[in-house]
Amino acid sequence: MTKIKNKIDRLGYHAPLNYVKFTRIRFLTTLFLFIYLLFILTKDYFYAPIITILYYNLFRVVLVDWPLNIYIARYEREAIRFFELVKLSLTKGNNIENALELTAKYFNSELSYAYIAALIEVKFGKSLVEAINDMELPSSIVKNALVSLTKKELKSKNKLEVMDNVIEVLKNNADIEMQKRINKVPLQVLVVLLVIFVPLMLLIIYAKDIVMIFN
Amino acid sequence: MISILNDNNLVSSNIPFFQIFLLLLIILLILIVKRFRMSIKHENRIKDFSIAPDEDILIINHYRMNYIKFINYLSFYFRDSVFLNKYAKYYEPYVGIVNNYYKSGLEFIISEIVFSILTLLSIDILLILNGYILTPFGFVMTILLSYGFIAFNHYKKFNNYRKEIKKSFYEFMTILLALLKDNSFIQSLDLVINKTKGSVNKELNKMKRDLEYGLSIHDAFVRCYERTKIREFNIIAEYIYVIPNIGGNTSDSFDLSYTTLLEKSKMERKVFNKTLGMYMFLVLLSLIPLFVFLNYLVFNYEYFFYITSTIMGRLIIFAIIILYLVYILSIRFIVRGSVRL
Repeated sequence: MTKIKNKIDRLGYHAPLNYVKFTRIRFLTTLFLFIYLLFILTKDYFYAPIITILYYNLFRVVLVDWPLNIYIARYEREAIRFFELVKLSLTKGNNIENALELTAKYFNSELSYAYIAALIEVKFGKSLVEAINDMELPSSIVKNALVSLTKKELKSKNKLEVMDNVIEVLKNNADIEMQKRINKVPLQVLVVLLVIFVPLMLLIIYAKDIVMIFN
Repeated sequence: MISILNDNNLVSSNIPFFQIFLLLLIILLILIVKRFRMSIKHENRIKDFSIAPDEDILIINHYRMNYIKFINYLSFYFRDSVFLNKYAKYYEPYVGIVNNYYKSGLEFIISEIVFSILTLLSIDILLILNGYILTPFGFVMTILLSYGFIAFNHYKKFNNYRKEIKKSFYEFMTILLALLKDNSFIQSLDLVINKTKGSVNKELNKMKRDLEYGLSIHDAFVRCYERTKIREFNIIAEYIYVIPNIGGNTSDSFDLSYTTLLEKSKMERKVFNKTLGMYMFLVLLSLIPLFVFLNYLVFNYEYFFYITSTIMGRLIIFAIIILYLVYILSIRFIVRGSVRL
């Protein structure tokens, strides 16, 4: 339950279900599916366990894992643009806190909404460093970047170097994710060929025989 | 049970009456056209001695303008319909690009509906003259297919317009940035418009008109995005709004937007080049079912007569078509999924 809760919290308001509802619906639907496959179909007892196990895992994968991966990728790409704008405002003479506040105020992104929520906590008495450490962001790289920017030990001259390093790290991470995605493509294509193309060709070639068997 | 044509005895006994009625209609239409041609002949005799338009009078133009007037009348009649106006918003970008005849999204929707009804009528007439009539299933299928055909046509024309703009986007952005250093935005836009042609020229002229009417540069780019749905314009508009509030200039906003969009295009091109070989292989592989189908048609066409006479066979053909479409769409999604900022 805690693993699923952590993943659904990372999705934020994009999550399809509460984690309690998620687990209940998953359990009940797998139970009904198992009973249906065992007793109502009255075919072999071989398919029921396999299909229920596949359904149980695919329920989590389709509703939580895939949306989370897409969300994290989009979050990191928006974070690159956010930090580039922060760097621009630093070069025009602002300090880090003002720069972060202004970009969060005027630039529409998920990170800016989260930062504005942290600033509201600062108004109620927390320090900025505490608020940023308590933020729940989907990607840890962005959180580490924010934490590194708001450290007290930084001097004014090093801030631009830190910004450059942060942006470089995020861009390298985006390149690595893109490379991973490209490397996954052959496997996905193989699955599509086996699941869709081979049955399609078999249907075309043996259509007449299938019709003769059924008639 | 699932059939397009009806061979009922009741209906087939009344078909001669339908046929006679249709023949009379056709004779009437021929008489109307002949009368119209006589009137045009008389008009042409007086043409040399009167103030005439630049175009010659053609019958097809006359009927085309009447068809467009009919659609204008129908759009006026249905202007308060909530259902149609909701979907007319999606057709607003098509105005001026797909067609010069229709001036609103509602007219596009109504023209598509009228086209589907006209195809249905023409197919009905041809079938009745041959002794058949459509069942409800055939009725629904003809409407859906004809509506899909014309809607796809419109969408394809609009998409070609968008692709042309996307292709030459970075070229005109580099020219624009180089000119912005010495000129204002409208002056540099004028100079860029003189160097471009086609769909980019059209779009930039629209932007220039927005600026001449008094809109800000941010609003002009936002309206451009709403018309074309090209994300690059939205990103530029965002930066034009954000950067002056942070402490920069409009030239900083253009520079930063150009660098980010260049990186995005580089990543897209990288993915495209790395997956090109596999994509070509898969496209060739997708032609194999069509090749097999053509082989059967040429060498053994009785194969399909046996299959379509049973319900199971028709289900198999339906499954083949669905699987084929799923295959094409899934490959496009996997290999050509776009890179978004």
